[in-house]
Amino acid sequence: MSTTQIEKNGTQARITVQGDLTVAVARELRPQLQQALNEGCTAVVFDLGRAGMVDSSGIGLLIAVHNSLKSKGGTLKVEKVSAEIMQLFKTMRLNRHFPVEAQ
Amino acid sequence: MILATPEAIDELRGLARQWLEDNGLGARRFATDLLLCEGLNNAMIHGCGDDPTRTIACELRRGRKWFSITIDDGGPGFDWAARQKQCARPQDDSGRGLSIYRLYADEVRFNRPGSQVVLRCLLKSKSNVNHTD
Repeated sequence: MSTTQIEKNGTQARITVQGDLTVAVARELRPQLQQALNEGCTAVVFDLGRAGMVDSSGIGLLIAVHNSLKSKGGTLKVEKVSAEIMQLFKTMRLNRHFPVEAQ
Repeated sequence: MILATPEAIDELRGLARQWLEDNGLGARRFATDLLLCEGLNNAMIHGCGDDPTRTIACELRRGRKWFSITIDDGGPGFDWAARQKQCARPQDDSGRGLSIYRLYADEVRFNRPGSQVVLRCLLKSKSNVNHTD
């Protein structure tokens, strides 16, 4: 069972993922994040410290958020990434688009 | 055989993790779980059209040199040969599933219509990612 928590503070949003950032969670988060961006959020941080898995749907969500933020001059950061997910992100070259920090 | 639902997929992934431990493949857990996520979610969304009454067949098998994941959604399939030639652009927010297959499995085979995929992993893997064994 995966859960997510979104904390908003002004123009910043912090998303904490517990479990998996896969298709079910990505589908749930996408409209919520779009709403946050529409409301003026310009800095998003994904905390993956308690995430066990990120698949192509999760990667797609991160890129979609990055694209939306970039078009508004905002920033995305992904932090507390496990070694295995970091290897996946590096292999998919995500770290060239936005900051990715290890656990 | 499982229902094409996220809950059933999560349950199967749990059984697969136990299967890996039982077969001395615990160090391959992340890569195998990622391949299962990709294959089963593709089957649920594209093969079964998000219809929770439809089913997905999945088999894990261990040989002397390989272990394999076979996933069959019984759907219409897709033009996998054409898709394999495509590569997601950096800004694309979809289209990375087949790349993950190629990175984390040593061999990727589809049946002719594309409704079944067999992902084979060498026990001594040559795939493009490091395993912890």
